Amino acid sequence: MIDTVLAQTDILSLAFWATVLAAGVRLAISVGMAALGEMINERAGILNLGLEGVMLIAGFAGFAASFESGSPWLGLAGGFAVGALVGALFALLVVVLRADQVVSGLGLTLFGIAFTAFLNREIYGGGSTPPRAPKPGVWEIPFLSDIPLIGEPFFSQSQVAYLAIGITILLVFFLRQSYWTIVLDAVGEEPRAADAAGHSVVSVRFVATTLGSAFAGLAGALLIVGQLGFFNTGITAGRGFIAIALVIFGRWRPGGIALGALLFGTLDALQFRFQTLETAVPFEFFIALPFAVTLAAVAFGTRRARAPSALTIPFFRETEQ
Amino acid sequence: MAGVSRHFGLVRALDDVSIESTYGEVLAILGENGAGKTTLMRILAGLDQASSGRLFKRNEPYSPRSPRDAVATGVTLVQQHFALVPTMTAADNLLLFRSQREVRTSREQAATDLEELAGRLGFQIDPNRRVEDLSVGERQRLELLRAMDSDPDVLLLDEPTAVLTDTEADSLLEIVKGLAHDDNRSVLFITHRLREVVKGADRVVVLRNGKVVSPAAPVGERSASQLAGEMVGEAVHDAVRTGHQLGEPRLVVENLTAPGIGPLNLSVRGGEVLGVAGVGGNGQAELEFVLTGQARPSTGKVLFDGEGFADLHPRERIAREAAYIPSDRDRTALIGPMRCDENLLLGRTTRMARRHPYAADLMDKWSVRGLPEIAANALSGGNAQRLVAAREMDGTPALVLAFQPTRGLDPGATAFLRQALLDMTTSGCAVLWVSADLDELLEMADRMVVMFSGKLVGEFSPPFDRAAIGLAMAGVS
Repeated sequence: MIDTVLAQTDILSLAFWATVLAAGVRLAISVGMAALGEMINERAGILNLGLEGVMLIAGFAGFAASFESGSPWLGLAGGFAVGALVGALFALLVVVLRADQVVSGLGLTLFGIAFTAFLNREIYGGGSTPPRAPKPGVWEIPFLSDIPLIGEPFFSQSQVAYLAIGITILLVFFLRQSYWTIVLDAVGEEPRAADAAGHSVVSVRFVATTLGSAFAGLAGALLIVGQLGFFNTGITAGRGFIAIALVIFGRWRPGGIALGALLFGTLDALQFRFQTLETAVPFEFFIALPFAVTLAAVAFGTRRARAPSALTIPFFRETEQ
Repeated sequence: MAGVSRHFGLVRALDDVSIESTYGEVLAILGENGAGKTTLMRILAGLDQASSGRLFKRNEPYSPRSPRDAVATGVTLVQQHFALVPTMTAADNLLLFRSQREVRTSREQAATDLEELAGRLGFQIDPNRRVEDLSVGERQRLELLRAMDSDPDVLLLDEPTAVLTDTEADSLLEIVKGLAHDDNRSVLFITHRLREVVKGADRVVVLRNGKVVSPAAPVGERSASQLAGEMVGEAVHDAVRTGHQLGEPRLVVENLTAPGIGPLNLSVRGGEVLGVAGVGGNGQAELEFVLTGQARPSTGKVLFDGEGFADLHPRERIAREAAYIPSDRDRTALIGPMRCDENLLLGRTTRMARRHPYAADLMDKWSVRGLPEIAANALSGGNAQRLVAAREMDGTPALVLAFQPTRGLDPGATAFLRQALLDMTTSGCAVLWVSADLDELLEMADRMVVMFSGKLVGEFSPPFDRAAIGLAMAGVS
């Protein structure tokens, strides 16, 4: 089989890898952004398994905004806003009312899949040739885009890629420097200590959950509005769950998560290449490959990583118990 | 404060309490577990509100709605359970407590401030170490530093010495005294340790069942036994040893090594109490894990009545009637959210459960104050430990492995547990008693060994030479 692969592609050439890497960056953007959002609420102690649902709902809203107005940037902003709105509702459930986070999150995902399928059929017919909305253009950075291997992936991308990379870099620096990182981590690690220090655990978790979900909403919009330009039922295809795995892979750090997203994206890009090869291996195997590798990496590569101590545990003051 | 009450449902945690403290003094609030001391502190610090009554500070009404409020008016609390984030550095923990107005302080600045503050109080601390890597004594000092960061004029300390050794506690009390006397602050600390009242406080007030049973008076005016009587409401009896005979060695540890400890050699005879003394953190936890099958020994043997013991499944250990009083009551001994009667059945097979007396009878017999239906975490520390003892030691155990069995308990429960452990020996049971409380072992043990950095550094027989044991505990041979 390897012989066929080698024969059919010039797999060792720089151009091949540049193309794969470029596709990898594209595929990493949405899942990475969603994972960064999830990281924020998890570090405050809130697990949002509804990520997939948020991406769909916010992505659909973003698509509608983009389609109706003709501006993809409005669509992206809409995705962010709707993500925040859904996040606030989720926070009301799990932070304020202390509902079970696992059940609520899975409920949100199931709701998101069904609700967007319903709206899509009602509004856009839900057919096999969905209407298309305009996408943001490509930005080719002079000179830098001509660098072999990394020129194509990093300096000749859609404008949304630069947006995502910019947000990631900002987040890395913000989290490294900020007082708010300490408050955020205290609430996720030892909420009673944060409470005793005079920080409202409920407020911090509410804001973190809302913000995390807003980033997940943006992630949905980046995929649907920024990259695809159309909507289909269940179009996020499990990326929300991969994002949750990436948070663990990245050890709750933005840098690690970005790296994990690139790894997953590149694997995904490679498997697309493999699918087009005429081999005896069924193409479903290749589709499953990146997911399997990601799970394996999470299972075996991150033994020493430790989740925030208070993850999924609702906060009660001692006297309320 | 005047006439303060606090009700939780039907439970009256505080009942018409009036206490007055002045600047420049240390006021001790003495009381058993569950006397309402902690509730009182939480109200003063803004973590809880009084159901009725009023607070005053410098003759002004004082009613903090939050810890922030309290800090803003110059009142800070050092809590009993460490309010530190273990995964963060000491300096970050300081920063966490600073208000949002000071957000601009950088982490480097916080580190410098922490060192400076420590210097002023007369000790050192590494601001960049993570809290989880600090010893309990260092953590307690960090808590104090953090409370002092806002330069309060009223400092509240909730059982500040509960987890400290005597030496650590003494040095903390010295620091606290200085803060009150030299800088004219008002310090209130709550405790159930009489020794510390005598050493560290100027005046003392005694609380029992949420009421003031003896108003504030200078410490010298009452004797220690008088104070103890007021605290528990009855005279505390010293544990009594009834006739017992030493038999053959039953528990034998030979050349035992495991990560952090060893090689260890010891034996406990039937009817004997072997005390294992030592400052906490010198391998006692590792010994506990190895002896009870929670960790594997690297080399060596643990024999009980001639048979291998350390590698037994917990079920086998229970079947051989080996009782185990874990040092971590909340995590290893009991399942907090489960009912008391369910906790009594933990680890017992159905066959054993059938023979088991009704939970209510058992709890009655072991004086556990509480109903079988309530969750174990609703019990006070003393009652929780009685519940553990009821499960492990009812009947005629052949071996008792007790790890810090009276740590953090009030005098009533401590006396009860000590007597219960001593009573075990009359039927030829071997008792291994690990404790950080030297006075306890001096009184209870038939023989004593001292643990220091994972090794046994001395063996002592009565009459015990307190000074020599103290030196061994400090690692001086």
